[in-house]
Amino acid sequence: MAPSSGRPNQEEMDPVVEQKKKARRMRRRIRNKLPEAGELNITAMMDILTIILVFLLKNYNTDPAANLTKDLRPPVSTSDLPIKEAITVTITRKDISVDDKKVLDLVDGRVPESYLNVAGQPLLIGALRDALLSRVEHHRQLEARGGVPFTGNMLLVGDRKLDYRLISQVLYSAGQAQLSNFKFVTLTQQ
Amino acid sequence: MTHRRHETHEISELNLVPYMDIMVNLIMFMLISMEGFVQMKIINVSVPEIGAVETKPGEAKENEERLSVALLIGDVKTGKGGFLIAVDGKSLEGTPEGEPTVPLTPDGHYDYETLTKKMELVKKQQEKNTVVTIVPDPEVEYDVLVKTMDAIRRDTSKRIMFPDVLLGVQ
Repeated sequence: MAPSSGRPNQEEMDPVVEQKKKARRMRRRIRNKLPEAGELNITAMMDILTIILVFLLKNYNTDPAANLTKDLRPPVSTSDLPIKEAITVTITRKDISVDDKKVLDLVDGRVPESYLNVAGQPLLIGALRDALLSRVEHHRQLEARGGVPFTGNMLLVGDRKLDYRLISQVLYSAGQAQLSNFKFVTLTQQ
Repeated sequence: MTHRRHETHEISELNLVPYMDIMVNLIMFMLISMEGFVQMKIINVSVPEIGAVETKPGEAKENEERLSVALLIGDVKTGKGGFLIAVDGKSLEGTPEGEPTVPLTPDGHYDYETLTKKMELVKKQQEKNTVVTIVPDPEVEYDVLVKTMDAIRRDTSKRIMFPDVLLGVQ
């Protein structure tokens, strides 16, 4: 190919040649911009890191292990059954939450009197039952729109030092909210 | 005109260094806070259904294999700590009157090994029954309840014993 001399003549005005010249210019420009040996091309690593980050974010959000604190240490058990997603009631030493929304605070490891004895049933925690009912309602609506069938499953994540009185109150209230399959979440032996 | 401007326009390079900083920090934070993927499992528990038919003492003859087995957990603090095993409404043989079937160990802990052995005796009489109703004192800790369920789930030779649990209230 004749090198470009910048001198306009009949040949260079031709559209085909003009295009070839453009291609040559672009190639030279790209060649000049090639990284030197020793420089790291991190674009590929960015892809991997982004995907890992998205995966961890998703796990961090749904994993009950993510919110373990000194107030929430489930007991250790030899049980081997895997966790399946369900309505979750989390009982730390300081409060009770349903699906990560706080429902009430505990005083001294117990439910304060004002929350108990609703409708004449001594074991019933009214606020908890109402919170659970709204979640149950939500799930039933999902089922009605052709989603997953409602199972009545409930995950109970509780600190190991809670007394049985509190557990029985929570289970009774959950029973009143149409939940009957309780699954205690425990840690495996390390 | 615009045609020419396009071909002389250089593609500016994206500086990825700050993005990398954030990315690496976030990933390290999340990996550490998940503590190396703490494993969690579940235990299935039910409560006795209201109105469910229960075998009453005396009707046991027609349903030899399925007597109701109850396990009461007494609280350590009240001095009546330990396990009381009742089959078909009656305390297990060998239980001293008014005392738990499996008392606490000398240093005041629940005796899970002896509990497992006693439950093996019960299991021998009823091979097919896998249900126990556990009725703890209100003051009993959740931890004790879970360990009790562990102790009766499998026997000492790791065979399935009583994996199904109903919880009751005193």
